[in-house]
Amino acid sequence: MSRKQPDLTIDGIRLPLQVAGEIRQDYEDFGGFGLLRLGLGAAVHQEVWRKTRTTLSASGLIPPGLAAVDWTAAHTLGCVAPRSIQAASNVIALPAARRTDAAPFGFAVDAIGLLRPVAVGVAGNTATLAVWAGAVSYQVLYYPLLTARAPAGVRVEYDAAGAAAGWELVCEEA
Amino acid sequence: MAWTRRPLPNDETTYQVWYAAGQWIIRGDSSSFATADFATYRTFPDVLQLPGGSYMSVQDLVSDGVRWYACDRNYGWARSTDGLAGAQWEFPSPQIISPSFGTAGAASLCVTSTGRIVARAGNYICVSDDDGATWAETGLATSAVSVSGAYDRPNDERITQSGDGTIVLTCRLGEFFVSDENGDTWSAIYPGVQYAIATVAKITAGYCVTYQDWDIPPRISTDNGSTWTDVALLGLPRAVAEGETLYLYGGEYGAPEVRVTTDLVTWSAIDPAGLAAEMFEDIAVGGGVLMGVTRWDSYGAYTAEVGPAVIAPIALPLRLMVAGVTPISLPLRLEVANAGAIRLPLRLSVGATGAPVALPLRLAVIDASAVGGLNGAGAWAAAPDGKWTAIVTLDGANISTRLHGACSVEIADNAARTAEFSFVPAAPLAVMGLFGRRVTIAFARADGTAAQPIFAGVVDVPTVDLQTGIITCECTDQAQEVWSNTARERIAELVGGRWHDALAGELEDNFAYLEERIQGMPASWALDVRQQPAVLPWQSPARTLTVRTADVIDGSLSVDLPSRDQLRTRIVCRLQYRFARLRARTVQASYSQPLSFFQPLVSNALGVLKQSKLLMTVAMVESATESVGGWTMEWREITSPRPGGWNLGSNLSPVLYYITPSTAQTLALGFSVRYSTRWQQSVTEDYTVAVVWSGLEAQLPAPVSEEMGASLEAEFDQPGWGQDPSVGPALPSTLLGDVVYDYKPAGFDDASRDELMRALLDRAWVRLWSASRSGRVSFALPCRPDISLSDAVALEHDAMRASGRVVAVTHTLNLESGTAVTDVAVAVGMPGATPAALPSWTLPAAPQDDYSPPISAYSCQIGTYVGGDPASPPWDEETMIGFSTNYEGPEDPSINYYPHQLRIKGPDLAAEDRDPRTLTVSAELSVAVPTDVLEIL
Repeated sequence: MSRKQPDLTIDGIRLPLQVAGEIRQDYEDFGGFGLLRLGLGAAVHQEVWRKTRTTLSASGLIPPGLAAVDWTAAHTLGCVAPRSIQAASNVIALPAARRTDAAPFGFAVDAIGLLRPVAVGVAGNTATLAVWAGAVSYQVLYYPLLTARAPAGVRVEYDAAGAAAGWELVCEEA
Repeated sequence: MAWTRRPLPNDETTYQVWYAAGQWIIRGDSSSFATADFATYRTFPDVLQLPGGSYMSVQDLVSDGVRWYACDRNYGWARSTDGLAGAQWEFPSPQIISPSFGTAGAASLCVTSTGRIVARAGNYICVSDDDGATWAETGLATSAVSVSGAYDRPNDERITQSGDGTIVLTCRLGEFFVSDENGDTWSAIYPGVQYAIATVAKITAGYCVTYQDWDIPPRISTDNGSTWTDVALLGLPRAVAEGETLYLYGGEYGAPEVRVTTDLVTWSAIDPAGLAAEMFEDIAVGGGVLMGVTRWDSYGAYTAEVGPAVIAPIALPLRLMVAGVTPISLPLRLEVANAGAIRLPLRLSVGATGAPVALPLRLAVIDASAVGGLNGAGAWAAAPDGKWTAIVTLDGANISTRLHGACSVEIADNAARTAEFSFVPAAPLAVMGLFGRRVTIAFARADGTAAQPIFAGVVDVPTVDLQTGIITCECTDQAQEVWSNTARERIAELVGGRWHDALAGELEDNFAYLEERIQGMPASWALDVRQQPAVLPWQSPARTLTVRTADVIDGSLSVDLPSRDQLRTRIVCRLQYRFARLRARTVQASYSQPLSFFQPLVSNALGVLKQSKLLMTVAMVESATESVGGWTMEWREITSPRPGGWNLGSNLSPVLYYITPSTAQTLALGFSVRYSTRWQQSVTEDYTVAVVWSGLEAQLPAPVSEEMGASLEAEFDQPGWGQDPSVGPALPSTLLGDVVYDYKPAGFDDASRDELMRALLDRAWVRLWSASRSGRVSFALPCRPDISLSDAVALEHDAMRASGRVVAVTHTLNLESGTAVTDVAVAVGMPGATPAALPSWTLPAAPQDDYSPPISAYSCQIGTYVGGDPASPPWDEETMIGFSTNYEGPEDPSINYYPHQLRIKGPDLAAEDRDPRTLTVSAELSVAVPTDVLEIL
């Protein structure tokens, strides 16, 4: 099994390598959720909504070409960091909002915790991982396609002496 | 769909089963037992000991959902006093339901949907609308059809009510009896077979009748019993209907069988998988479960089987007939737990008025699990997975996805329900146009299920944030308007208690009437979530929720103890009852002198010593007696001297005194006159009654008092009554003395006064209680949208124990933080946990007027004054009232002479008779006031 690390896309436009030679992406949940603690310490989870926030930090030779982006609108973010779902079954439901230009990939997890790359077939939003003898669970990875807003826009820095551009974009799921 | 065998606690024959409120009652040969889960069992009585020591058997058992009713055909009937637990029973009076039957007890019972009890005692069908206190015989269960069979089998004598309200009575005859008028009238139906009927079941599609002989097939009628046809199913000798589903059951040995239909055409068999029993003896349906008790004859071991989840439909045959154009309100509230199909066969017939008819009927079924979860569960029943949402509509449009920030609803006693929420309008919005727009708010699980409304009302104050464009709406449920538009009769019905218009005077507004009226009842007002007026008793809550430490958000518990400033130990009630006392007095004036008084005084030795005096004349008497101020002459009698001649001297020296007949009739020696007068006097009965909470007063260093009062005045509006005798009311006449008539028309009489006093005392007692209920125990819970002001809370917390009724609820649904919290405030009074009821009051006696007029009040002033004598004092016009005369003879300027006249002065009315009179009464009534559980641990 082989795979290719996809490049970042914004509204379907791929950012060139020179913009994001080094790139990091993190995900976190945010929203209306929390825990109430009752009198004997029991936790009551309450949640009215939950969204994903992602931060892209990158550096490259030139700044990203995002100066003319309309940040009042939502944008489609083709993520570079995969998200993963692990399950006991080799058939795993995938979120519909994922990149189609970067296929999901997966592993079988054996009894001692080692990952065994296995083929992944995708039908609709269901991933079927090839059965691996001795697997105790399976893990599928996919690249999210986020509809996100970044009201603050991109933060860019540029080291003229070193000819190095750094930038950061904080996006929240719309 | 397979059946599951449930173990029973005893190896004995089971042959009857009943279901009510989540529990099954199973009757065996020698005992009965109850279970809700078939894991634990408790004993349920199958015989009850009567007060006289004898026993009655529980031959029929029915429930109204609140308690059990049991009966024995020859010994008595009973009802449980501990709800559906069935451990405690009472034997209401009378035990003889049918006087014509004359024997205690009943063969079968039924409690209809209206709460009426229908019973068959002997052959007599009886009904009671007051829970068995009185009974009426409304039918006779006898039949001319001769039958064979009639075995003594259980369940063959039952009274049931079908989903459409028809009551069906079976009693092992060839006919059965039905009433579609809630038992008022009965008719017999003969299904065409001369054999004892075992059971009859009815659904909308028609009747199904079964016979005690298993070889006689069931028969059905779809034309209300006119014609009958066989059902080609044998071995199913029993039928039962639950809502619109009809079950035939029984079966051959080793093959119990149940058939189901909802139309009497298609009969489906319930999968017998899992069954291994002889036959079904009885079945019952409840909570979505079909349960049958079966016999297993091989070894005498018996079991019960619970079948697949057959959900009983619920039918509401609501029929409403209204003449005229009166608006129709249908505040129908349906709460169903674990419901299956729900039918609302609402039929609306509209005349040819062409008026539009709207039926905005909305039926929301809330999962029973959504309103549970307290009592230490420590979970969040409203949204068990933690995911929730707020559903807000504005003018019917769902704006939930546009909400911003927190949405809150505040509910409190004696106040309008208010709500506040903010939203981002989808399009530019005229904020001013939001006034009065309809708003509803509900809490729901994230998928929109189990939505529980918490607010309905209108926008009261909209505001807009100019920076963000966010609109915030403050909303109200229009409580004051709703109450103002509620008829006083309805308010009186809701509030109850005593009332007198004099408590508050003229009230133009119905809301003001509510606020006044409710002061006499230990209750608060509010609107419920449907904006319907509700009165919330401080006692007898709709339900009591037990809240334990594990249920309460950590750190949210707080207590404000009852404030000493607000406590009252006594309420002084002042009642002034004013009325007109109509009075009449009759007096008699008499005056008389002997003739010798007027004749000259003669001495035989010295001759005439004193000259004669001028006599009183009739004209003088007539004039004087007719001009007595303030009095009306009723009768008069004048005494004249007899004519004649008298020798006042001696024969040797005669002094002759003559009165001729013509002169005599003009003279008067005396007279008698009767006078009367009428007047009215204002009388005020002034009551001061202190209602004292002695128990509390003993705890405080000094009484803390408050005063309240009322006055009742019977106005007498006959201004001419004292002067014009023709003006009524007339008083009875008397020869002498006083007549007194207290003017107290209907509505202002003594009974009304007493009613006012009782209403005032009720207020005082409620005031004492309300002053003590100033304590508040507050805590927060994960949002419980079902908690309402009609609930009471028993708080069993590590830090404190308390109980009381909920007086404030605030739901805060924070869409930013995701927290949904309900803050609850419970009113608590003084600790003690002692109940007390509103006293019936023993009123102080009305005051008695101890004043009694002196004799002078009935006496006229008529003196005698003689002038013309050297000893006569000077004339005094002011004091010399009466008859004045002079000695006759030549005038002597040195002597005082008086006018020859008669003047009469009537008696004056004393101030006590004339002036407004106040009669005081003071009393002190000691009362007990309810106290609550309040223990700080």
